[in-house]
Amino acid sequence: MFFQLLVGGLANGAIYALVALGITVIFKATEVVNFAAGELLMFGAFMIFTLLCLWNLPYIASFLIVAFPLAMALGLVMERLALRPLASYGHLIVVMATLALSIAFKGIARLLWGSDIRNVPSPFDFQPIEFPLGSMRIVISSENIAIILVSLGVMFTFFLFFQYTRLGKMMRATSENQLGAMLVGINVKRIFATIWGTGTVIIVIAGILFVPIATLYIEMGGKVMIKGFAACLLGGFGNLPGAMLGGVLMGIIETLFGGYVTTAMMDISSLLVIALVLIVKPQGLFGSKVVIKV
Amino acid sequence: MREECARTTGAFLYHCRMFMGPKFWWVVALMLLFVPFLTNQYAQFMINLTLVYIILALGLNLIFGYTGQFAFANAAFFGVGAYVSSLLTVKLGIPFWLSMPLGGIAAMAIGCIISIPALRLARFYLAILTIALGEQIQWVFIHWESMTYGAGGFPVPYASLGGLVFNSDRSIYYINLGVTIFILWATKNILESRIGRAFVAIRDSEVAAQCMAVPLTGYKVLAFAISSFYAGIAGGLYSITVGFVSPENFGIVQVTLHFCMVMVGGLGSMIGSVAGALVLTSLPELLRHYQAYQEMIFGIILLLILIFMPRGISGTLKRFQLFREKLTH
Repeated sequence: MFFQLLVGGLANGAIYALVALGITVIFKATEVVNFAAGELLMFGAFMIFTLLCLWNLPYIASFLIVAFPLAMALGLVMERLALRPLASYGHLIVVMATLALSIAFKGIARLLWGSDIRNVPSPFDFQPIEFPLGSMRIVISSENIAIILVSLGVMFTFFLFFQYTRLGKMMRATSENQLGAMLVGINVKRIFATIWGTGTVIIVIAGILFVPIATLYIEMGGKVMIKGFAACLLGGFGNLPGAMLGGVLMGIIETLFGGYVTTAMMDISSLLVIALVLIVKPQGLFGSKVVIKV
Repeated sequence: MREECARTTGAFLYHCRMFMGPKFWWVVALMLLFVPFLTNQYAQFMINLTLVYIILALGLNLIFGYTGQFAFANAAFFGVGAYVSSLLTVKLGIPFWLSMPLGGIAAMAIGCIISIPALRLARFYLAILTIALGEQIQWVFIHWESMTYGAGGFPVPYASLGGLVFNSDRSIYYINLGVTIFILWATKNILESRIGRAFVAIRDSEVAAQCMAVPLTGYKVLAFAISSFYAGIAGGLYSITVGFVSPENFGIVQVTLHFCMVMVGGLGSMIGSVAGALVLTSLPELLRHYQAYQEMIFGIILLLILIFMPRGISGTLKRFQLFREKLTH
C-alpha cells in the first residue's frame, strides 16, 4: 500500500516539480509570482490534445512542437505585449497583469476548445513494470514511468542549460544582479524575455506530461498551480533544486494524505503544507536564511 | 492653440473639483435613494451586488492598499459572514438585523486569529499564507455538512425588520445602500484619524512607523480585524441579496476579483475602491451579449486598464486633479 502510493505520488510530484521550477525560474529573475502558470499548464495540455487526438500526429512530434516553438512563442508574446510595458511600475502591477492574463487565457481556451471535460487515451503503449515487494505486488503504470523519466530528463536538461550554456549563464547572472549584468554588456530586457519564454516552456511541458493522468478542462490549472506554489515554499522560494524536491515531496504528501486519511483531504493537503511551512519555517527546507520577513 | 486647449481643460477640471465638495456628496446620496424607481429587477439586483462588492473592495483596500499587508483571506471572511449570519437565521431564527453584525463579528474573530501567524510574514509570503488559509476555510464550508449543508448550499429566508419583510430586490437595495454608506463614512473617519495615519505609516515604512511609537502588532491586528469585519458584513448582505449561500462563491476566484477591483480602482484610495467595484461588476454584465468572448475581453480590458492606468482609476483622476484625498498613495 505504502509503496504503491509512493509511486503514484512520485508521478504527480514530478508534475508539481516542473510547475514549481517554471514559477521559480521566472520569480528568481523578475521577482514576479506568475499567476498565469495554471493556465499555461492548461494550454500545454490542450495543445497536445489537439495535435495528438484531432490531428493524429505522433506523440514525440507533437510533444516537441508544443513544448518548444509554441510554448516559447507564447511566453515571448506574453512578455512583450503584456508584461514589459508594465515592468517599470513595480512587481505588483506585473503580478496583477499575470492574473489578468490568466483570465484572458481561460477565455481564449474556452473559445478554442469549448467547456467540455475530456480524457485523452494514454499515448504510452509499453508494458507496466510489476515487481513483488514483500507480500505485495507493486505495479508502476506505463504513464507513471513515462512521466517520472521524462520530467527527470527535462529537469536534468535545464540544469545543464543553466549551468553550462552561455545563455543559461547570462540568465543566472541577470537573476543574481540586474545592474551587474547590464554593466558586463548583457541585454537584460532580452534576457528577461527569454526567461519568461523558458519558464513558459517548463510549465507547458508539465502540462503535456500531465495529460495521461489528468482530465482536461478549462479550470484544471488552478489546483496544480497552488500545489506548485506549495512546492516552491516547501523547498524555499527562489531555490531551484529546492523547488523540484519540494514538488516531489508535495506529490508524495498529497497521495499519502489521500491514502491514509481521507480522499477529501487531498485537495487541501497542499494548503496545509503551505500554512505549516510558512508558520513554522518560512525559509522552507532548503531556502536561504534571508526571507522577506517583518 | 495647444496651450490654450490645455488651459481651458485645466479650468474646466478645476471647476469640476470645486463642485465635488461635501454638498456634492449629499446630492449624490439623495439621488441614490431614487435609483429603484429607474431600474428593472435585474439591474436592481446587479446594483445591490455592486454595493456588496464596494464593501468588500474597501475591506481589502484598507488592509492591502492602506496598511500594505498582502492579506488575501477576505473571500473566506466573506464566506464566514455569509454562513454565520444566514445559519443563525435558518437554524436559530435570529433576525437579520442581529445576525448580520454577528456574522461580521465572527469573521473578525477569525481574522484576528489568522493575523497572529501572519504578523511574522510580509509581502508575497503573507499573500500565499492567507490564500492557503482562506482556501482551507472554504474547504470547511464544503465538508462540515451537518452544519453548512455541504457543497450544495442552502436558501436564505427573506430579511425582516419588525413587520417589514424585505422580499424584493428594490427593498433590499435600501438595506445595502444604508450599510454601504455607513461603512464608507466609518472608513473615511477611521482613515482620517490616528488609526488611518498609523496604517499608512506602517505601509510606507515599518521601521519609521516604529520609531514614531506606532505599535506594529496592535495596528496590524486592528487592520486585519476591520478588514475581516467589513468582509463579514458584506457576506451577510450578500446572503440576503442573492438569497442563497453555497461554498463555491468564497474561494480563490472571489479573492482574485477583490484584488482586481482594488488594483483597477487604485491602491490606497476609497474612491478607487468604489470605482473598481463599479467597473468590475458592471463590465461582465456589459459583455453579457458576447458570452463566448466574455472572459477573454474581460482579461484583455483588465490588461489595458493596467497598461494605460497603472495607478488605477483614482490615480488617473488625481493626475487630472479631479479630486483629492487626504491620505494619498
